[in-house]
Amino acid sequence: MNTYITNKVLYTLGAICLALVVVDFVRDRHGFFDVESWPLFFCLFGFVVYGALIIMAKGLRRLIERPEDYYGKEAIDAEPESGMGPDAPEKVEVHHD
Amino acid sequence: MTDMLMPSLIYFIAALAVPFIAAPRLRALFLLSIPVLGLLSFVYMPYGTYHLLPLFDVQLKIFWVDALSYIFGLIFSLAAFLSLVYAWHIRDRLEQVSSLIYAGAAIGAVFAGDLITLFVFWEGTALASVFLIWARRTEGSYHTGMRYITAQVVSGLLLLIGIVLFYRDTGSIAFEHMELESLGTWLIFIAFGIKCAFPLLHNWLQDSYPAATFTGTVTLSAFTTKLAVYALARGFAGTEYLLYIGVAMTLFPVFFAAIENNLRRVLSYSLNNQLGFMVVGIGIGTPLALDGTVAHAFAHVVYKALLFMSVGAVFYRTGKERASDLGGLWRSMPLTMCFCIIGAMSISAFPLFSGFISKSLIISAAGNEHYFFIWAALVVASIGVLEHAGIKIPYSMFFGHDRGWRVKEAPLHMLIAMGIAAAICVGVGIWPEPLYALLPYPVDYQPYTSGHVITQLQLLFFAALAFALLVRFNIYPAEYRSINLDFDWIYRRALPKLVRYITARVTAFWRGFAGFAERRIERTLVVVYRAHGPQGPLARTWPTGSMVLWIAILLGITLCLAYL
Repeated sequence: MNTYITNKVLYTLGAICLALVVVDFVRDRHGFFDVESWPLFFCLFGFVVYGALIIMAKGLRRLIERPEDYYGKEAIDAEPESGMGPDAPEKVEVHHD
Repeated sequence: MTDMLMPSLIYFIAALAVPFIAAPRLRALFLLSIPVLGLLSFVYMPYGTYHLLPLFDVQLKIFWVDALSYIFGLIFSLAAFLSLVYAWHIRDRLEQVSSLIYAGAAIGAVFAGDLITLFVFWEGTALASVFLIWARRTEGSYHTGMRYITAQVVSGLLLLIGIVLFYRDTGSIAFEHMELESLGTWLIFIAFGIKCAFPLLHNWLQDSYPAATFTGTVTLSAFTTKLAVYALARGFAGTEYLLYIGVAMTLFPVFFAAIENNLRRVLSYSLNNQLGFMVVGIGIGTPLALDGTVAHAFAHVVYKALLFMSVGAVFYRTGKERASDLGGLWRSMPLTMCFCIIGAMSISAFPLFSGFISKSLIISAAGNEHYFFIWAALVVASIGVLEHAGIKIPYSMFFGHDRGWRVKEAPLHMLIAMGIAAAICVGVGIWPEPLYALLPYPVDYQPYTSGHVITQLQLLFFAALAFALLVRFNIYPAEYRSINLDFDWIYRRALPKLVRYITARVTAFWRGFAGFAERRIERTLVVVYRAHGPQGPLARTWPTGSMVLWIAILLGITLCLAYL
């Protein structure tokens, strides 16, 4: 578990989703295809497809991931970043729980 | 009215003058006035053809205004203006001049009424834009620029060959609807496809856009690919292949974007995905779909520029553009965060934002034509957009892991540029009618029906809930420094390796063969030398007498044989 997504964010999202489940029963069911009239189709589709995309992308990453200097001097990936503005950034230590 | 200056010419003349304006602020102000002048030069023009130029036995239509070119002219003028406001602080004249020529060439290309004029401006965009990459002035950007210009010039070359063949077949150079039935039109199609980043022809985009200067990327994101979309819409509307190409374009970048660490590359994959929606619209080819493509191009240019601007503003302050180096910036850059989120909600097609009123035209057109799988793929791709552009970009810069950056808010001119772009995103989203009125075909479409709004919100919020849970349970892809291979591995690694291997083999074989042949020749020479050399029997000088004796003997034998 990590806390980048706080409970507040999670519960707010949950509440919105719950409200959207409720309005699903009164929504206009006319669409181009039959699936659009299925109850909660878009809720489940959004949730499942999002999860599936992430899992598949992680699988893909295992295959195609390489170190940043893989292409050597012929790519910008291993170069130090340049083009910053005149003000040097300040950085503080942040402790995460 | 033919004596009026055309917009591209205004940009080119201004580009010539820019290096001679020494005062930096005056120069920036001058630059800003050019898109405005360019816009004024065509915005009140009635539709029609201007600037005819005879060339041998064909007539070049250099400037041709119709509904399609008009709105693309508007889009490009707006993009040029926004990117120049954003680049107000830039003092690099190389970058300024190439931005102007690039924008001018792109605008010239959309107003081209014939294929030859199109080709000239097409190459113009390629040659001018590469300097936005080289303006980074590092070895990596030099090599990246070379790869970029190679792809662009190949596109131009194929276009030129295609035009020649097309002229031979039809006797016409008019830039009108074409059918894919001859080699010429196929070559033109592929030339457009390279610039439009079709699957497998797409890598120049993700390779080069993160390599430009961060102001250069904002400029680059607007023109080249949308010029290709325009060209496809003009030339190949209703071509069935485009349906499948477009669907592939919407889907595959989603996976790459989800795991990419460099945020400008995430946005480049996202750009590729957005082009896919437009290409599907062109493939469907109905008036609603084409309107959707054009509306989406308009909305896209603005929110994509806005997203690139927000990444650039963060880069300007922190010097970092990788997700693994950023996070928690909402405290330091709240305004940039707001603008970025507006861009993110627009690209994700939240109701009341521009993406909603443009993308739904294309998806509805797919539904109207009963293309179920195309429709379903576009809905899946929409969730992908929410993932990488809607959530990942703002989340990894402004929220997530607080890396401790305490920096200043973005400079004023960047905030103004982002503010204008954000205002357009929201304005068009709330009040789409003025945009719809500019589209090439009359629009009879109502995006805000209760059913549509509810289903779209269900899709987006449940996907967002999935995101929150995935982050909570540490399943969401971790951010760390790495790159991901893509199809360009084939020509950046595999092919050079193969060529080196083949070269080594051929060299070895040739050496072996040459050695063998040399030894054979030497041996032959030894034999010949033995016979013909200074001491060889055939090289000896025989006395004349012995020869005469031998002849007498031979004659004697012949005489004897004759009488026997």
